[in-house]
Amino acid sequence: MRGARAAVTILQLPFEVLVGGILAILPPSDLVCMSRVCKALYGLYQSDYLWQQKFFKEFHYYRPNKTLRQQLGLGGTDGGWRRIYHAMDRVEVYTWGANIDCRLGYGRTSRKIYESVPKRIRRLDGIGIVQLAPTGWGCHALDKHGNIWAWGRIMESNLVRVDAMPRMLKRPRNVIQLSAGRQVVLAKDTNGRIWQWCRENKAVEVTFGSRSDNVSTKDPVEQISAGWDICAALTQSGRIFTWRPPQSTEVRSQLRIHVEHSVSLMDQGYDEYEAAISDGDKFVQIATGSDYIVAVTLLEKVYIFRKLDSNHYHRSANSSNQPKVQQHPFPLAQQHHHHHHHHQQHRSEEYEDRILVETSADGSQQEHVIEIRGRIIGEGLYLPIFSEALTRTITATYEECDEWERRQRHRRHHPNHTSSSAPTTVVEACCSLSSSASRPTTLSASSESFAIHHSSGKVLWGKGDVQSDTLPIVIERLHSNVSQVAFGEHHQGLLTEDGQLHTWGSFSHGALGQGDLRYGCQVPTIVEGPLKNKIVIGIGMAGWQSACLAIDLSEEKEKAHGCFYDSQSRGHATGKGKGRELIDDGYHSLESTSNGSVSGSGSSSEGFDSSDGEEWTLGDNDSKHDNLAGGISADGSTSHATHHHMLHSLFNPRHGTASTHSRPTPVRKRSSSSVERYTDNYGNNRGYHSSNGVV
Amino acid sequence: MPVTLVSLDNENYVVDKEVAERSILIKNMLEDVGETDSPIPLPNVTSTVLKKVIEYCEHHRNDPIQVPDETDDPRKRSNDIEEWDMKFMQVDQEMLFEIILAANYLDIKPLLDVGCKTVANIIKGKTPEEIRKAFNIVNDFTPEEEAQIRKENEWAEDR
Repeated sequence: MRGARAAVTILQLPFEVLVGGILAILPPSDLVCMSRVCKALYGLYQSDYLWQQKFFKEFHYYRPNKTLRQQLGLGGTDGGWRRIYHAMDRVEVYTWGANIDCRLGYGRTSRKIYESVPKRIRRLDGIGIVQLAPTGWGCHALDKHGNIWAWGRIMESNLVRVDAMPRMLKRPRNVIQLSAGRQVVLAKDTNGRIWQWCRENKAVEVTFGSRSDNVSTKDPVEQISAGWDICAALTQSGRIFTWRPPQSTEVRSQLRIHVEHSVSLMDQGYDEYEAAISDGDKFVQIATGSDYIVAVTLLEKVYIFRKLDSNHYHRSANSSNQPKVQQHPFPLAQQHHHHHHHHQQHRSEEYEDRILVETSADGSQQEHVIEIRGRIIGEGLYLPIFSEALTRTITATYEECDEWERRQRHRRHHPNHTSSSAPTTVVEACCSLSSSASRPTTLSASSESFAIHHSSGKVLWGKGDVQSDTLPIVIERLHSNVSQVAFGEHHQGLLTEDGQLHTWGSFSHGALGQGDLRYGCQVPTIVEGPLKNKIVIGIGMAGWQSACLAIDLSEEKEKAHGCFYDSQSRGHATGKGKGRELIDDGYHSLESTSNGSVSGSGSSSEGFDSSDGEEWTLGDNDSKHDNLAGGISADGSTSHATHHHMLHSLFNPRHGTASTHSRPTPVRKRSSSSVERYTDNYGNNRGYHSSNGVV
Repeated sequence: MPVTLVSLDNENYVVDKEVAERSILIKNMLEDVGETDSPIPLPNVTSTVLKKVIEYCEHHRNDPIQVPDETDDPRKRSNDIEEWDMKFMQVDQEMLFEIILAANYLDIKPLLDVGCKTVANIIKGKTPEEIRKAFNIVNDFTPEEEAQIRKENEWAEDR
């Protein structure tokens, strides 16, 4: 019977098996050899599916962010995934800022106590770092294999040695998520286990839930977040577990930690702004700051939870101008008082952590578990203005934000002076937000600042002492196309979708990265120096330090223009002028074909979240740009920022940012070439297989 | 409870349910049908291949049903193959591909993975000419095209 069937050859294997199963596990050097075997294999080598599979296999849970996708033309042009794959192989790590004890990771040769321009850590070249988590006294980084690298130290302490060079931690391994606070680092591994470690670099496991139900299996942890004096974990069902970083050395280094108490949206009850909590709504993102947690729900409602011993929590619960307490349908104020009373009376008991001795599952050894029973955060405070601002336009100019800042500072120093902190009015104009929930809103926080990053690209910035009537600062109006925001102690940074890092704030030992700019800088200003002509794909800030991941694309272009853009350059005859090459390098010109109306920076990120609201952002750019110019014009340094922008777009035509978006981008037709023919005949391989008539 | 599997060429194989359920296809089928004595036809698999696949499933009957997390473990994702599996895969190329096709059809992921790794290991470290020989592939490039592709790939090779 077998004779009746034609013998199967390698090329007759199903596409998914041949490409996804076999080719995707081969190293790039073998793939090159494969591509030279025959036309069919050459076509497979060119296929985006191969490089996407390869990327997913090797980079695990790391997914290219908006910046990377846009810069490498993912979705719009062929070969996007191959560019990303090769680019990620070449990621460089830069650090700058305070360098006391050589904590920036360059080694002990440079003994400068600060570095005011980004400097590369050569030790990490080729390691494939995908995420940075600075603590302020050092930094942790996650590589593509799930290993953690650390340099500096976690917290200021003379007892602990400083690593002047990055070194790989032995545990935990296979990490997919990393979060660093001031004195503790949290990690989640591929099995969903949560690890915590402090100065001694010895990781202990953290488990959650009441004794009876084992949360880790039923309700896996989705997100971890380490703040200054608070750690938090968010589970799939929307429960937030909180605990304090351990205080004593023995506890830190030996015991598994078990956290019992959690809060969820349902616990929050009614408040005067919302009739009820909608069914099915839950917390989906958290971020921790100095002593608070910001949480956002599926329906984009923003809450802040403060530690019970936080000054702001006490104030909010006791202050008379706090409407929440007074108008609450339930006598919550009394509850609060009662709670506080109770809490103070039985403080020691409630806060007492128990150390239990447990026998491990197989009964072979005993395990010490520290059980954290106490509740450390108070009732959540709903932030109506933040929640609404996510989907509406708020008019707040930069000066007004500045003013607000000053008033906040004033109020902080004179707590009795109860001025209302609303500097501007909320204008419900242009509720044209059509896209929501296509991509979840993300949060970031550090010490006193937190940012809410809406799917539309809007970024709201708030402070830890926020009250329900506080207005957010809308960063998006200062800068459009923000893909990541980071905060240090007195400096801030934002990463744009076109891969540029902008910083502002105070000098902070050079953490701005703009040279010896001792007076600091008020408006977001691009960081260049060694980052010039590179695209930044990730940033991290803490304390007086900054760090970023960058890719040098110029190198790739030189090396690879014969390969990646072959179909184009061959079609355009032989004259390969460098200048022309740069302009029609196919990053964006091709995209405009698929994305008609969008010019310049358009990207249809297929395979991820194709409708992530970019069109709204882009469509609104005109007004935004006007606002940007108008808003800052009173400021002396305005020309600085816009000048930068223009300069950049002049020199770097592919960085068609929002401010230059009116420049029409030519729609380039792809010329047919031999390479394309292969791809057409063999590359769309579902066809090639069936034409053979097997299976 | 035993399950009867019928190959393309009408050979019957009686195996334990536990063994048969290594195949997600069969497992789902049995779940849909419920308790049944009727044989399960597998029209895409010949008896020689089915015998081999059953041998694999018998050997791995007690393996934990694949946890998705485990495949994501980077250490296990290397191209290392267990010793028994390696011996099991020492078959001629035609059989190797048939096993891969059957594993794909029957949805036996560990077997498919072992098969793919075996093929990948054959390819590794070979020149294009050696690959052609190993898999009996005809070179359909013109010399010009070949030169062009080599030029394109230069950057990747010196990495």
